[in-house]
Amino acid sequence: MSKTPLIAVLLIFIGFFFFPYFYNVASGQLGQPIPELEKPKGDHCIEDTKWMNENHMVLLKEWRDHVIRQGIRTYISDTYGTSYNISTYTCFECHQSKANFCDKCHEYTGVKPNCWDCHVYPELLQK
Amino acid sequence: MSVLGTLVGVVIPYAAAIIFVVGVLYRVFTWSKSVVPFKITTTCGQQKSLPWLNRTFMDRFDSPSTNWETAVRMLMEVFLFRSLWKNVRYELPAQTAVSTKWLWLFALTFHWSLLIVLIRHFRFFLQPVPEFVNFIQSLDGFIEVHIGWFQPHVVHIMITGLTLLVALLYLLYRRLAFPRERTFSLPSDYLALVLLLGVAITGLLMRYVIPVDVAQVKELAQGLLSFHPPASPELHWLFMLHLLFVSALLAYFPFSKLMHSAGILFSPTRNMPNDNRVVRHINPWNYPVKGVDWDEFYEEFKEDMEELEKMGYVVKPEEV
Repeated sequence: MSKTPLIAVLLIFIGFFFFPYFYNVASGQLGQPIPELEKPKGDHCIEDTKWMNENHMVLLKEWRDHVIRQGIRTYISDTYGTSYNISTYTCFECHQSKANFCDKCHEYTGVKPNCWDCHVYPELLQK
Repeated sequence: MSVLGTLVGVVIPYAAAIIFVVGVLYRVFTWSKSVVPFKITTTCGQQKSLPWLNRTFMDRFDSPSTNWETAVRMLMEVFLFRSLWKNVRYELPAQTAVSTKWLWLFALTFHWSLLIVLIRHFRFFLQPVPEFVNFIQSLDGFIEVHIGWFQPHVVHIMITGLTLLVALLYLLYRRLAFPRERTFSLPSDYLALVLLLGVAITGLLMRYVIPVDVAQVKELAQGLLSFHPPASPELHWLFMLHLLFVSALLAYFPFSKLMHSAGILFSPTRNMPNDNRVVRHINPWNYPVKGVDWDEFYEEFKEDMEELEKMGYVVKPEEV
């Protein structure tokens, strides 16, 4: 058999399966761990940290719908039982930097949330 | 959890990747060594022939005579599934062949969705995440919907993830519900579908129902990629299940019909130009034929040759 199909398969195979390895070596960031986040103020987040890592986007979306569609302004924590005012400013009390907190993980995992299309963020407030 | 975490998170993915790479390379190299005794000319379309034989535009690519036309046919096969487009079903009462495009539609949907989903997964393997992955992700996720019974809040929909599931379910339904398809379905046909469905369903569950910490997922992916994996990764059970399905699929790949992804390029009816009337195809199985040159030939038939020359004929070697 002519060697053309073999060459084509090898190119596609290497191009697709080994591309991440070569790309990361070229960018010099092979095996990058989770970036260090700025330690937020305060003792604990409104819920358990592990739960927040996984579910913060769901929580924020629920908050948005609670406020905009249902007019509910208080949130009672499942973990701690304390009540919080539903507002991005509640987050900003402890998480005082978008660049050093939100963005680091979001850039790492390629997530582009549309929060900041409308909402103000701490860096803008400090200006 | 820690022993299980090491097993599912590190050992099995590595083993699966090695089986996948070695297996695919082995099969591909074996195929490339296989003998092609004949030019396979039984393709569709009118082949290039005498100038007054009319050919349509598509005949050029259904029965190509040059290399670039063959390449176009191969690309149409890989990206558009032209063979499936020609699928017909023979309807008995009417005794006519009716064009059926459902298989083409769902097969094409499935393969394109899978490709885009794979490219979206590059965000876990590439560091930093390149712009084209972000772009594909934003195109894929441009619909935001609110489905009250499903989630109490607005959800970003990744279109290809859902089309992938729908197409896979149709391909399974087709094998289970249609009598002819059910007859020729083998256990291996179902196994491939079930593994893919397992991957797709666990993936969709993670996106829409049970969120997991994707930063940890990327850290594990980076660890595996750099050959410095964490000793005992402790990740969400749902992600571990997803990873297990993917590993099983990778390890099963070289032994299964999934090898058609490489095999399509080795298909003689797709990769050979139909140019038998122009180029001689040498069969590698031909035994060596010892030829006779002009001097030996003349020597053997010397008397006849001289007699012919006396009669006035020109006796000389054939000009090649």
